Amino acid sequence: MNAWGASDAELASAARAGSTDAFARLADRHQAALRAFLRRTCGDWAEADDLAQETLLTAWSQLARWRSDASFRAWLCGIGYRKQMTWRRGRARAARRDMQYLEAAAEVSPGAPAEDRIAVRDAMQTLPLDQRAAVALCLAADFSHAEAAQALGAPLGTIKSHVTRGRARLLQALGADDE
Amino acid sequence: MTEADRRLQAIFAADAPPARDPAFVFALLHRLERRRLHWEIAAQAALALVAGALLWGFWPEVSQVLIAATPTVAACAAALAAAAGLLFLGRMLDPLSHKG
Repeated sequence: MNAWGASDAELASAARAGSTDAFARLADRHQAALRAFLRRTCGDWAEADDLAQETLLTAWSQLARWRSDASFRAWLCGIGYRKQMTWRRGRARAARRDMQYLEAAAEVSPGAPAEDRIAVRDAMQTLPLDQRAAVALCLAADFSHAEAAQALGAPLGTIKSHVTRGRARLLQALGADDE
Repeated sequence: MTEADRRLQAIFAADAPPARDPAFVFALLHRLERRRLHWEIAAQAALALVAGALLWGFWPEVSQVLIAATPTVAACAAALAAAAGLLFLGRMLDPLSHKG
């Protein structure tokens, strides 16, 4: 049970029984984590949001496969990660356009300085996809290493190593000291 | 957490979508309903195909049953048509039925 009412397991059970309202509440609860993960690994925000919707639709049709003792958001991110890998295979041509888009988005986003955001996003795009995904879950979001391992279907040690290496690359791009 | 980690988190925070996003959920439910409709149509089409294939496969037997049943069905249909005709005529010829 959490602050918004029923637990994920209760909502998933109701959604499996055909409740659209329960599924809408599940989607509302987890959309931010899923979209943030896909935005950070995918780079293209519009494409990431579209992938997030596809992910949630797949999750709806596969709700029976989710085990209630596992984290729902990790399960969702796992589906999203696999969808993104499929999507990525067919779109190397659009990479240059995406980089231009990212630079433009970084310039208008509030918060950290634009040059830092561009540096980090450029560095993220140079990381291998599995390393980028581990960084997006563990450093950018509040996933534990175990949860990230579940989402990405990788051993715990691999996730830890990805996060350590990815973090070092990002800090190097920022010109920051690791202290 | 180091100062560098805090900087990284601040940069990543710019990518975060809102915690609640009714427009996103509404668009998702719209796609969900469309997908349900497509599945329903596909299921009905599959059912129609199966029924058609069964009818085609068993047509010799089905046609025998239809031929055997035709005299009975025809007699029933004639009796029903006669009853309906008599009822109609009866109402037309009844003077009370025109007085309103």
